[in-house]
Amino acid sequence: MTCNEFKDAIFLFQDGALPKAKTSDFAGHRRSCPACAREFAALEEAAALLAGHPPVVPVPDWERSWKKIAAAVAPRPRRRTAWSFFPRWALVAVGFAAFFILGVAFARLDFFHAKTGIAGAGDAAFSFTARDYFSLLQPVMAEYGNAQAPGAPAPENRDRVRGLLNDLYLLKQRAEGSRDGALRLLLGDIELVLLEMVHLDRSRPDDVRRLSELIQEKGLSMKLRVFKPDNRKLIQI
Amino acid sequence: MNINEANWVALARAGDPGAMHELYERHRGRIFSLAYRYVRSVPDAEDILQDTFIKAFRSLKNCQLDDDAFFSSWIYRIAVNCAMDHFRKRRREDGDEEWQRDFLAADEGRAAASPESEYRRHELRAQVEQVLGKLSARKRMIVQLRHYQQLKIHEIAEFLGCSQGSVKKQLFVALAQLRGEMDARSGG
Repeated sequence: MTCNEFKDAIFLFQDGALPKAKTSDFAGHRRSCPACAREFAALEEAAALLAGHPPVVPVPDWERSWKKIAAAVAPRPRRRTAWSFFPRWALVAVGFAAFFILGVAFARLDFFHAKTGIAGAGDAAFSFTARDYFSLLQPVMAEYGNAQAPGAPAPENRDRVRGLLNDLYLLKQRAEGSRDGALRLLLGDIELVLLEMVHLDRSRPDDVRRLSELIQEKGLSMKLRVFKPDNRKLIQI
Repeated sequence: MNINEANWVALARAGDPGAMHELYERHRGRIFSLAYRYVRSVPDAEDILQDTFIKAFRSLKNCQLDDDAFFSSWIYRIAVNCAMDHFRKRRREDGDEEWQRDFLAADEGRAAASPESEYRRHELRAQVEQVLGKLSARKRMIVQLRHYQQLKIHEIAEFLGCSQGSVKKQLFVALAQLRGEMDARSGG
């Protein structure tokens, strides 16, 4: 056994954990090596010094310490809030109900938009619907469309046309975000024709004829009849 | 861990205060003894005792204690770390000299109340403690675990999370320092 091995084995020897095979080597080296023997003796002496003078351990106040520990590890009481007075299942049920109601509302709104092609909810205070508007428009269109026919009287209802034009602007404003291209096109054609009507010089038969041709060209009389607001649902505007 | 203690640990893990108190009563003596012999001050040792149990109970829910990891070993390891942390903190706050004076004062206080025949013994003990007070926190803990708690080298290595070789080396150095200082004092 070398000196390093001896030093390494000292604590194992003290612990009684040195294998028996090595114990004789350990003892032999201790006898043959004065330096290691001194080292061993000094360690034993230091150990004896410590073991012989252990500090006396006083008895502390166990209960005081326990109270501090218990207070530190005790679960903290939950703060009572307004919500904490309701049972958890009730809150969950209310949440689900609100979610369901909102979901249905949005679904209906989306269905309405898909059917009407108009984005945004309608103005319930507005006094007419598109169907009403088209029904008002049909006789005017028929009157101007037939104005070129022999013996037909010159149309005189300019104020009525102005009123229809104003209503059209309101209708167009509401239909601005519409996804329905046919509706937007129809309203655009109506606007063009109504503007021509407003500015029509009834003393000039050529102008009356051109307007009549325009109405027929755009097929407005037919479109206003064919257009079925009933099928597209009522447009609340 | 015996069956009985395993039950207490399971209950304490579930937050049962009675079980916590039972575990406290079972282990408080050994932990306080470790702490006191390490810091040589009752208030400091009480702080270590409290910190150890608070940390243990708070982390008991999250730690996995299987059959091999005994609760007593686990909490003892926590106590060792708490004691070393406390020692380092006190040393930083007070400085080495004041810390050593505290050790001496603690022993002298007891010596004054002792019979004359005990005086020399207390004086020697105070000197040993003073020398131990000069050691680093780790060396001091190794000496403490080895000579006051009678732990074996591999147990100390396990507690401190280092190799047995490292423990042996530091123990050699610490005991050599102790011996040298004591020789110098007796020579002077």
